[in-house]
Amino acid sequence: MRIAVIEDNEALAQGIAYRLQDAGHAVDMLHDGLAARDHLASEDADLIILDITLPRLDGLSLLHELRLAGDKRPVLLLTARAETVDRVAGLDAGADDYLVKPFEMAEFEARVRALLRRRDAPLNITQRIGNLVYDPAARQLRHGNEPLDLTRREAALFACLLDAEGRPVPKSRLLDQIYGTGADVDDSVIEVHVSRLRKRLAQTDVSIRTLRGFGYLLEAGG
Amino acid sequence: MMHAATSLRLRLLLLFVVPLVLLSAILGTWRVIELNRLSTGVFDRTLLSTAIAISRDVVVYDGDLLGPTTRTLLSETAGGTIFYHVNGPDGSFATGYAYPPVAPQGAVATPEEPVFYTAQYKGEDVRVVRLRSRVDLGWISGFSTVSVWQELAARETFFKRLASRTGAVIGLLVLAVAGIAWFGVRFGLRPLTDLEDAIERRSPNDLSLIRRAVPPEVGGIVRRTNALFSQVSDVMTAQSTFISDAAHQLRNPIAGILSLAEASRAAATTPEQIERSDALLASARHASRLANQLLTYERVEGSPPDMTEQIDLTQIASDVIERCGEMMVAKGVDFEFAENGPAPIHGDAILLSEAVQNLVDNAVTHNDPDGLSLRIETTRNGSECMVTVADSGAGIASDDWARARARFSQLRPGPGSGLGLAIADAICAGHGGEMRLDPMEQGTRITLAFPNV
Repeated sequence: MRIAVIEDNEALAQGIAYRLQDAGHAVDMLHDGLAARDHLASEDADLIILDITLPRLDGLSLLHELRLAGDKRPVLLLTARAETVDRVAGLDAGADDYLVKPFEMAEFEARVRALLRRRDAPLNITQRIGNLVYDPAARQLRHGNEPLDLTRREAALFACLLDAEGRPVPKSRLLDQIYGTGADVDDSVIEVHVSRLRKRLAQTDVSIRTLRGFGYLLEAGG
Repeated sequence: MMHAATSLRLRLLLLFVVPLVLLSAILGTWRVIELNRLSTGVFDRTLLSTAIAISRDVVVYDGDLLGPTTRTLLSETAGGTIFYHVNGPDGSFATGYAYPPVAPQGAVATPEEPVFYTAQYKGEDVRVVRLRSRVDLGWISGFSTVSVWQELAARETFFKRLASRTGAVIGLLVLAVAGIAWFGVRFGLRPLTDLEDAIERRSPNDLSLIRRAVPPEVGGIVRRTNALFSQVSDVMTAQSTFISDAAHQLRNPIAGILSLAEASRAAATTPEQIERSDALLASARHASRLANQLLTYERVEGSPPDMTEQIDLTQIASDVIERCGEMMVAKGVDFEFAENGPAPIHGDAILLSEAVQNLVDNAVTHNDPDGLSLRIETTRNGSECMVTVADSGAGIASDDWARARARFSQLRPGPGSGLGLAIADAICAGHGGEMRLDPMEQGTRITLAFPNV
């Protein structure tokens, strides 16, 4: 994938670029708004990482121009901490996601993966965790070459945990994912599904950890 | 000049009362002298008119008798018993008491002018008037002398009574003024105590100008205090802006260092590279967190939080867990969330999650996380909504609580910035809440309590 990193903090941009390159992406680094506009006008990009505070032309204006011109390339907006107004404005201007600085690199990479996946959803890209491969389109989970049989709800539960990229997911959100928002189902139903899914994953190196009173997270290895 | 530390009340009292006492003494003395002159005049005129009456009777009754009118006059005259002595024109004793008081030298009555003098009569002080008038009795003519006298004791008693009444009236007046001054001063100084309250309510966080109406006499004090307030405020704002700018400026390069350190760590292959880039990464993370915490602290201390939005403390806690749950599980923390339904308060969601995050970070940073029990609880009662973070770690003694909350202070040497609890405390206070250390046998239990909506 080709990613444009538009960030005036050159060291930060370089650090981000290294990580993206390590993950196998091609990176174009731009350090000011006008240069970024010129670059984006002629060059391809599968994802645009855009800082709000930029010299010459700020990120929000650039984003606004892109969307007005009908440019639908996914944009991950980087905003300074706690600038709530910026975030709302960013989403209004057409950003696909935002990340508040300072951020953990792992978090950043997760957002990047999610955005790239969203873009490539029609191409049936698969997700990996540990020695498992999940095909979201077919809702099929494979352990090496062996398919693991999951019910529809178990698959939904697994996909939801997988999408969280290792972060814990509250039970209420899992319920919404499996039964639909607002379904009148008791919290404890989740435990039944989790317990069944755990049995299916017993032979793999992926496990479901419980955060008592909160929810679950998917953990690979160990 | 009175000593500067003398109380205002005493000062004003002395200023009022001392001149008043002096003035009263002068007035009183003048009054007593005047009274004395007045009463002497009145008694003397009575004495004189008695003498004239006797002198006339001497002519009418041939020098031997006093008429009934004169006798009445003698018995009813004010100022005590009247004695008299009449000498005939020949100089012989005519009537009355035998021995009149001896006149001092120079006190000689003439036909034109009676003479008054004070003398001794039978051991008592007496006031005497001597009158010389021409008589013509037919068989003899010449000058007859009439002496009339009266004891001084009676008129002295009368004068003393008048003088003491005057003294009493003046004394009461002085006391009344002193009393009014003593209590009036307290009343009069009330604007000053009001002003004291107004100043007392100011703090380094609130140096707003004093706007209440004050008497013109203290207007100058208030103007100068206000001028000082605004100067101090400006200096503090400038300093806080500087710190905030400095932290802000530092944050960008630190973010760069951090991202490059992460990239180095990811690319490291040999054990040495891994070890060194781990150390670099840890330092960069520490610097990054410190710069961010400084900014947060400045923001919290600098301005009150936005309280317009209603938020759910349970949701805040849930967001924090979602953010740091992976880290806690990875470090082996035994975690539990105990929520008890929505806990709605007014406040700034980002700041509040920062406060909760700091408590969680503190628990994980200052204890061995592997096997540490960590429990986050949200509760709501009639007046408060609370979020509690409890761990099974080393704990904080209640004596150390104040120090634990201070800026840049750490109870035990560790990797923290020393700002975590100070920030949580400031955020809590900014929201009208309170950060409490709940007594525990083991571990630390800290509650952030906010007013229920």
